[in-house]
Amino acid sequence: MFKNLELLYFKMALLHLFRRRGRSILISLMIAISLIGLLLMEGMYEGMMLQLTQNSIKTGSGTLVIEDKKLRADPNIKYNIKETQTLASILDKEPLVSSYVLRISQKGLISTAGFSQGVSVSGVDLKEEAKHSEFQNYITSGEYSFGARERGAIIGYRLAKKLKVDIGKKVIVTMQDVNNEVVSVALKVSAIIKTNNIAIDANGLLMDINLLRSLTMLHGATEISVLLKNRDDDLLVKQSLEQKITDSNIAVYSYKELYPSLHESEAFMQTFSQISSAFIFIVATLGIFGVVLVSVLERVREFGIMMAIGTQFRDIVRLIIYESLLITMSGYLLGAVIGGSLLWYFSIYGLDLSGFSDAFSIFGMDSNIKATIKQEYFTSSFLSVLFATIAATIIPIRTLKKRNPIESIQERV
Amino acid sequence: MNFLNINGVKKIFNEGKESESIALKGVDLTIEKEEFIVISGPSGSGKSTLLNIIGGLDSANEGSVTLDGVEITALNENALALFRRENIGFVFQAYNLIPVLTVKENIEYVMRLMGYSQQECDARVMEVAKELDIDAYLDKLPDHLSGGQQQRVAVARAVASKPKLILADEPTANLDSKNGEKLMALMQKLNKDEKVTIIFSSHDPMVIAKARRSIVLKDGLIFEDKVR
Ligand SMILES: Nc1ncnc2c1ncn2[C@@H]1O[C@H](COP(=O)(O)OP(=O)(O)OP(=O)(O)O)[C@@H](O)[C@H]1O
Ligand SMILES: [Mg+2]
Repeated sequence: MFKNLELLYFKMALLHLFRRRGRSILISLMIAISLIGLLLMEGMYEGMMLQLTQNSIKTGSGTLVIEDKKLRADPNIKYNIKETQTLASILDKEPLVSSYVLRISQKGLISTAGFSQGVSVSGVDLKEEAKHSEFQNYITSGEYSFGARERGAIIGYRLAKKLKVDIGKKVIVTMQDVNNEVVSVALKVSAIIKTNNIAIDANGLLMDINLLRSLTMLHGATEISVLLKNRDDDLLVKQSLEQKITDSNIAVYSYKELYPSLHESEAFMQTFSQISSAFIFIVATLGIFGVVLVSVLERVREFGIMMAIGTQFRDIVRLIIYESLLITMSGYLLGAVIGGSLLWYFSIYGLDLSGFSDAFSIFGMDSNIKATIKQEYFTSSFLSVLFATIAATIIPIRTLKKRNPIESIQERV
Repeated sequence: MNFLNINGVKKIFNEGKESESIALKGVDLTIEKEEFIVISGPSGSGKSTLLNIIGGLDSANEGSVTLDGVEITALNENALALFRRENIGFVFQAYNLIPVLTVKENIEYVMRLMGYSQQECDARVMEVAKELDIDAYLDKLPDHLSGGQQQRVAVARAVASKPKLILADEPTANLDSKNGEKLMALMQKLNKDEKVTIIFSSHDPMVIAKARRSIVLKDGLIFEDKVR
């Protein structure tokens, strides 16, 4: 029997909304549209941030980087890692590590016949990098190779443009060795890459690590870049490594320390999503508040009669809440389905912004932005809408509560 | 013990304020089961106020109302809502019905609140709808009925749940004389067939003449109380 009544009020709520369908649809749509906007903003923005972070991590430092403690403050390659074997065996045993590579990084000067400028030289092992940074995927022209005699160079596309060099052209790279003596080498451009990692695209040059070792008289590496299976384990693995590394000159950094701005933008993302949820909360509250208030005020007499013939006030409250929830939840559902489908589409096919490609790559982003979809986008906005609905009914219900049934009935009709 | 006892009921609106008005100045009245009573009197004499207090829709400043042994003036709001549901049927001047429910659903509404089964509701709705000559409109919405038809549906709802007492405040005021007379005739018939006590108020001499007992209010006091 109780169920039966519940159903009756639900039906009454539904019928009333249908009677006032123009208004109901308007508010529903308003909520749906703001939800769609919110979902797209959240998903696209987070997707963008994720790409940015992944780009920087993959082609740059890695999730963790192992270096000499003094190198950050004084970027002189005399602060390098000599015991690379020891570290390699530690890393091999770390279960959360997915891959690691040795690199030598040194600042230098790159020159062609007519032009020279600063360059960040990275000595890498292309075979190892293929599994790690996957530079091969970023090549725009040329081959993923340093040539037969390992005398090749892979350079960033912006650097290539600036130097006006192309595949097969010769460049001279000059730098200091571990003893601060100036050394130089002639390299042939074997490939040009576009990683969307600004440091590499504008200033980067990759060359064979062994060639760079003999050039700089450095036997180990200046850094070990480590990728983890899960980026969020960074601090866990960092701690574990720090415990196992006995050499007190060696430090382990997380990408969060290396790129504080990346980390900040992740934190910002959370704030952003909270603000957007607050926004949709306000839209829903105001929208539904107006509708509920009007709908209650125009039915004061109807409610009065319902109460006179024995309906309890809490059942009237139930009716009002049902009506409000029906409007907002249908809006939510519509918005979640449309917004969710759009996000799903953009998460697979991406949103192509190649028209603005240059502007984006300056920030280290791909021109094709893939959205992320997270369950929490839906749950947090659902809760917002739900609370908004309840909040919006409070004042109308109190307005009604203040009148006794007879005052309501005597309300002029 | 009388069926309905009204004892020294006083009602003052906006007490203590400048707009204070005394609607009832001490009304004493006893009413027996199955009576058919009209309350008349000039506008502002306190008819509606008295009916509202009897029905537990409004509170009295002084005095008591006892219906079938229950002192309703002592009940709290929630208890009153339940008491009204079980014991009193109401018919107001106009717009009595819930607009989104059909005629049938309106008639059975109180029965459903009381917990009657769907079969019981169906049977009872058919019974009263036939009696009130509205069985042809059961599936219509109130908006699609004439004023007279709507008032008959309101009476059907009031009587369907078998209350002890039906209170009707100017039920015919919005009807033309033909429909007004028809409604009165039907209410009279219900009074006999259903053995339900009915108290209604009216301005209309034609309507007043239909009642067996006529009470006239004037300035918040009983001016005349006679049985024909
Ligand atoms: N809610 C109220 N607030 C203030 N005064 C009221 C209120 N309701 C009724 N009154 C006053 O109480 C007195 C009795 O009113 P009531 O409505 O009972 O008269 P009535 O006999 O039903 O009149 P009518 O024939 O016009 O319906 C009137 O003076 C009226 O102004
Ligand atoms: Mg009146």
